[in-house]
This record gives sequence, C-alpha cells and structure tokens, in this order.
Amino acid sequence: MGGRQLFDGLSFVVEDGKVFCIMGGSGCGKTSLLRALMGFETIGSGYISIDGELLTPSSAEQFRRYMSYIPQEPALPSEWVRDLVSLPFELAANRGKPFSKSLLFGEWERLGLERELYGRKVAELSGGQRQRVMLSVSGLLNKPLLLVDEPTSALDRHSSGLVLGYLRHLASRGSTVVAVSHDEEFAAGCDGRIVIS
Amino acid sequence: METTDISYISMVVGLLLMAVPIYIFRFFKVPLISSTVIATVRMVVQLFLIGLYLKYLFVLNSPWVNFLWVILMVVVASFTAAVRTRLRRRTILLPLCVGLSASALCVGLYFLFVVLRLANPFDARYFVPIMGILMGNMLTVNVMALNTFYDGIERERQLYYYLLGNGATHLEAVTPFVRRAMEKAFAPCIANMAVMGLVSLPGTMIGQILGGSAPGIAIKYQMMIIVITFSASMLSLVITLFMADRRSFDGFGRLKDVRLRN
Repeated sequence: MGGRQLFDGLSFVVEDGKVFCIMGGSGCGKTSLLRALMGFETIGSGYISIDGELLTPSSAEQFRRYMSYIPQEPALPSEWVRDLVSLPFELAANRGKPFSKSLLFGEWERLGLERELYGRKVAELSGGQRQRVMLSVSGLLNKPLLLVDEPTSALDRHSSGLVLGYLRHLASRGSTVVAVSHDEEFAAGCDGRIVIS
Repeated sequence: METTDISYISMVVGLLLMAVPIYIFRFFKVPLISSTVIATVRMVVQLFLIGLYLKYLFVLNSPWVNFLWVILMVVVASFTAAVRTRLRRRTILLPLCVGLSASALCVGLYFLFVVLRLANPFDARYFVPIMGILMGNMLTVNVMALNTFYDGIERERQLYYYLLGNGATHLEAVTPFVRRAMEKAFAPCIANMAVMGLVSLPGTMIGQILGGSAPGIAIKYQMMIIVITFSASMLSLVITLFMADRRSFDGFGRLKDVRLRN
C-alpha cells in the first residue's frame, strides 16, 4: 500500500450486523487497511469483496453509496455544527434518508452529547465531541456498512463505553461496523477482531 | 487626432520608474528583485518582437496567418499555465489547449460575428487583439483556479475522502474544491468589474482613447471586452477542469501523482 508492503497473507471476513475491530499499534497500517476497504489504498495482490461482489474501479462508487465513513480527524469545511451534520444528507446517494433536528438529538442522547452543541462552531467542539457528532450523522445515514477510524481515541472511559454501545446499537439495527482502534477495552467489546502487528 | 509617439530615449526614461519598486524590494529584502528584472527585460523584448510581428500581420491580413497566430498563443499560454501550476504536462496540456482554443473561438467569434457584425471578422485589426485579450485573461483565471483546485484536494484529502466514503459521486466530492477554485479565480474579476470607471480606467478604453477613438465608443468596447473575457474565462475553466479531472483521478477516485515535485 502506498508503495510499501504492509501486510502479507492477510485474510479476514466480517459478518453482517457485527462490530468488527482492526487492532494494532501506531503506524502498523490499520487506517490503510480501512481505507483499502473503500478503494482509497491499492492492494498489491488479493481481493476485497463485499456481499460476494469484488471491489473494483467500476464497482467502487456503487459500493460507497452503501457505506458511511468517519476518518479519525476529519478536516471538514463547515464552520457550524448544524452545517456539518447536514452535509452528507445533501449528497444524491443520501437524499432519501430522513434528517431532522429531533432525530439527531435522539442519537446525541445515546452518545452523551448536549443539544446546545447544535448552535456552536465546529472549532469549539473537542476532538471527542466532534467524533461523536460525526458518529451520530452516520447513525442517521443508517448505511449497511460503517467504517470508522479510531472512534474512541479522544474519549474518556465513560464516553468510550457510550460509543461502543452506540456502535452495537447500529449493528443490532442491521449495520455492519468495521472500526480501527488501538484500545484494548474497546476491542474486547467488539464481536470480532483482527490484530495487525 | 494623432497619438503622440514615445521616443526610445523617453522609453528608457520611463523604464527608470522600475527602479522605485526594485529599491523597495531591496530595502525590505523581498526576494523578487531578480524575477522583476528578468520579467521587465522579457516584457520589453517580447513586446518589441510582437510589435514587429503585428506590423507584418496587419500588412498581410490573412485569415490563415491570423489563425496560426492564435494557435501559437494557445500553445504558449498552455505551456505557461502548465509551468505555473506545476502540473505534469501529460495531465494538463491537452485540457488547457482545448479549453483555451474552444473558448477563445466560441466567445471571440460570437463577439466579432454577432455583436460587432463585421464584414470580415478575421480582419487582423479585430481578430488578433480580441483573441489576445481573451487569452491573457483566460490564462490568469485558469492558473489561479487550477492551483486552488489541486492545492485544495492535496491539502484536504480527508474532506474529499470523507465525502466519497459517505456516498458522494466523484463530481459531488470535488464540488467543494471546484467552488473554492472558482471563487478565488473570479473574485478579483468581479471586484474589478464593480469599480470599473470609478477607481480604475481599464486598459482597452485608455488604449482606444489614446488611439483617437471617441470616449463613447471606447466605453462600449470596454464593456464588451469585460463581458467576453469573463464568459470566455469561465468557459475555458470548465472545459479545462473537466478534462484535467478525468486525467487526474484513477478509477477508485484517488488523486494520481499529477504535481511536479520541487
């Protein structure tokens, strides 16, 4: 990946409706592997398939319509939280998805976020609040596959528990969650994991 | 009314004014002295050569020679833009050539044929300067917009991938960057247009008035020049960006290595 070999002989299957964790230390290629699932990183050999269909240049855009992705430190253009949360709903692939303040606040309650954040500037949010806001948006998007990079990296133990609970809630609703993490406690709460060394 | 000629000695006296900005650059240690001197020398040599060339171009007044001149301008402008944007030639040259030539011909010929209703729209006196002014403006806008677009995607890959990863089509994912590129490239044109005549007297108008035209005619030409340069710049930018975009991203939507490294 990116001109150097990170993995050899790596193979894993993620089951439907489960929370799966990709674990490993810093710089081992966890994020690259997550990005490869969307076609953002090249795999030298082998294949990635989703529901039995191969991920190829011609299928990638179609696959991504059914995905939601949260990068670790999203550099987003919106100045205000209210614009940030509505951004993905402006995309053609998500236009049918229901979005309202009351639905959003319902998700925020599960994630321990206060309603007053809605009127704030994105820059005023802490890293952990920002990640949870993004997570709530993915929850509303309700896609079959959620890919999330280090969802608990900026959170304390209590908030990490809320996030794990939320991901399990999304999985129980039918979404498959693939999360990258180096947090042992988080990984222990997932349905399956792969450790990259 | 005869325009007063400028003698070569007077030209040298006029060029002495360049000593003022160069001195100020030196005082503040701004590293632009050598590029200012080189640019001034290039400008003088190029304009003298163009002056000589135009003299023959106007005497010949052949549509074919005029067309060849426009093609030469397109090629030079495309190479210049490629250098200024540090984009690989195989990525950007063809889009620029197509964007600049198609827009200059469409908008330029619309002006000459439909607006001016000239008996001979390929008359060197009209065709060459109109194409020249379009080319200059399109070049500026394209360089500014392409730099903003590619800088933005390179700097904010996270945003681009966030949008793609949440179901955006490629067009939707690049739209914020296209929007920003257009804003940055056209904001100066719009600001300039808004104060035209109040705080700035544009070159075309001044040139025509100095050349002996009535101010009423000069103003009409100036308005039309603003309109055609704005429209041609937008048209060329859209064509160039669209074509360059297709060559800049792979099938997965990843940005290829399109920028030359320093």
